[in-house]
Amino acid sequence: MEVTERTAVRIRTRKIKKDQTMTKFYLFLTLVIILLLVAALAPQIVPYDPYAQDLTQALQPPSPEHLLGTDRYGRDMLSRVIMGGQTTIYSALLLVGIITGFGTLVGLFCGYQGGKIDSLIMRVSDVFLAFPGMVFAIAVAGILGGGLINAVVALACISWPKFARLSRGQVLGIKNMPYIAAARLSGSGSIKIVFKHILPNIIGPILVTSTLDIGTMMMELAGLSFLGLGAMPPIAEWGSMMSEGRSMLQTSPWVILAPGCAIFISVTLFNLLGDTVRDVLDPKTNKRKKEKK
Amino acid sequence: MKKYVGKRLLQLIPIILGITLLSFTLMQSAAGDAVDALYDNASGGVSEEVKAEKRHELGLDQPFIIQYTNWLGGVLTGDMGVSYISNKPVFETFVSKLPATIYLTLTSILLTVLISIPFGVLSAVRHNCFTDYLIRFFSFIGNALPGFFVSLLLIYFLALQLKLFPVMGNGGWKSIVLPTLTLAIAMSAKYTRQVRTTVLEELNKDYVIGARARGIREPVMLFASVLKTAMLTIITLLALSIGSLLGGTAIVESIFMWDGVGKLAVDSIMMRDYPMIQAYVIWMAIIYVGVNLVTDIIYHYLDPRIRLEQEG
Repeated sequence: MEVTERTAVRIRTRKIKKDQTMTKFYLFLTLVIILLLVAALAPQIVPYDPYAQDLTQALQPPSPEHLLGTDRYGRDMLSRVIMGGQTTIYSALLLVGIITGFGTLVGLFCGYQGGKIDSLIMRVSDVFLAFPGMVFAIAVAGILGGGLINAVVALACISWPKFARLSRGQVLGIKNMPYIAAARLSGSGSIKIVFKHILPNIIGPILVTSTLDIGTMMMELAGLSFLGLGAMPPIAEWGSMMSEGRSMLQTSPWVILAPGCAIFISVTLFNLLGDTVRDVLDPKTNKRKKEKK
Repeated sequence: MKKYVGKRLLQLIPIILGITLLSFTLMQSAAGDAVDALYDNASGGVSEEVKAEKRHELGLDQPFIIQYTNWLGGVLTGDMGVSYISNKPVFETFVSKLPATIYLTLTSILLTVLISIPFGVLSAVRHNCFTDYLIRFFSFIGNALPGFFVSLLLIYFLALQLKLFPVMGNGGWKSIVLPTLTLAIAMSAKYTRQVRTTVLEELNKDYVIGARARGIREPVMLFASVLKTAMLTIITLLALSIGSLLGGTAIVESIFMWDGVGKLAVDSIMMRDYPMIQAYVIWMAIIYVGVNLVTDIIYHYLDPRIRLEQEG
């Protein structure tokens, strides 16, 4: 009697925990969507033209007129931060999309086919994974020359192996399951097996990793722009805005603080979303933790 | 053991060949070269003839495969060439920048270990208590702050407002504090989490229950058994970090004008100083092989079940 009661309690607490994770998930998802909308609609909602210079208004501290102050050319910081969000966030999303897609495809191929090509590609990805990534990206971006697209390409070059490794490992885990053999016996071709039977089963961990990667990639892109290897002025981008403001740190710190806090807030939001996506998609780890406690 | 180390060091050769060829190819396909970078920065226009002469002098007008073999031949005879920009020998310049980077690597790794291991263990022991939440909160924040923002904040508050430390430069012990802090904040945030997860996993294992049942005191068990096994994961991570720090932290080094290899690399990349970039690429390959080798050897000593020969 007591045992059933305890099980009932446990099931109930588990349900409450699950509800909490879902609430958190919807909350963070809403916040991220708001962020994305603000960035997408940037040209419509900015209070001032982010590129209009007005030297009489240069380096004004935050005031009711200019909520975040103005920069060295008298451009409104709030408008520039919102505009910069469009550049920074969407290029980070593009980058994560590219590396997730490419890495997963390579991983699927390698895991399913195996053989010499597999071990060759995995050797190459080992080298990429072990090399100091950011430095390598700087080298590639520097060699290709500045520009936002080149920065994305540079970071994509060094970041895809993570996803290739991940999806390859997942494929190896389920490749030999009976249902795959059954699918093959019933005449499915390799491509159908890979995309219809394997991919849907491994998409969870990949999705979690790529959501968690958005924040990191945003910081690295902004870092490249900060070094002058990413977005070029006058394009509003958080990293290059901070780099422009470096020399004015002492007299007008808001020029740095506004884009810096913008990066911080958006990275935090994406990380929180990533953590909850993991909790939602991966109830197993939660359950195990609870039982061990 | 010696044989194993030798075998691993031999791997350096194909890696160096591959990666230098790769960077050479990339540089060839890029627009602009060292001559453009050199003269376009100088005031006043320079005619195409002067540029062509300079290119001829540097051998930049030759086909790229000849340039590469020339360079490779030089390296094999111990001559890494001279910088296109400063005309100084590459090898000496590069080596003169190494101590600054190594110094910064050591201090920031030391500070990271001093922060992340105690806090990570504390967080795991006080699992789901207030202390744990507080530590996790701070490590979460640390994870979301880009390094260049941290360094600018530190400069603003500690150097410009409180005037505790110099803003940049290599003079005296005070100048290393801010770059060290910047690097350590980012790394500690990552490692505290990692140490917490690893220790938590260990604490759930049966031997811990056994040790507790036998009445072994908690601190003794924690340090003698749990931390020792948890070390394996932590050392792998630290080794990777040391590797990337030795490669020079380009952003932090250039913000603080710390005269190390990271800053040198960025400067040479901007100026398309090929011989210097090649020296840097070789350095990265050496770090890569060295760090992996050292990690494997440490593994072997911490956990003798891991055999070295299998992997070689």
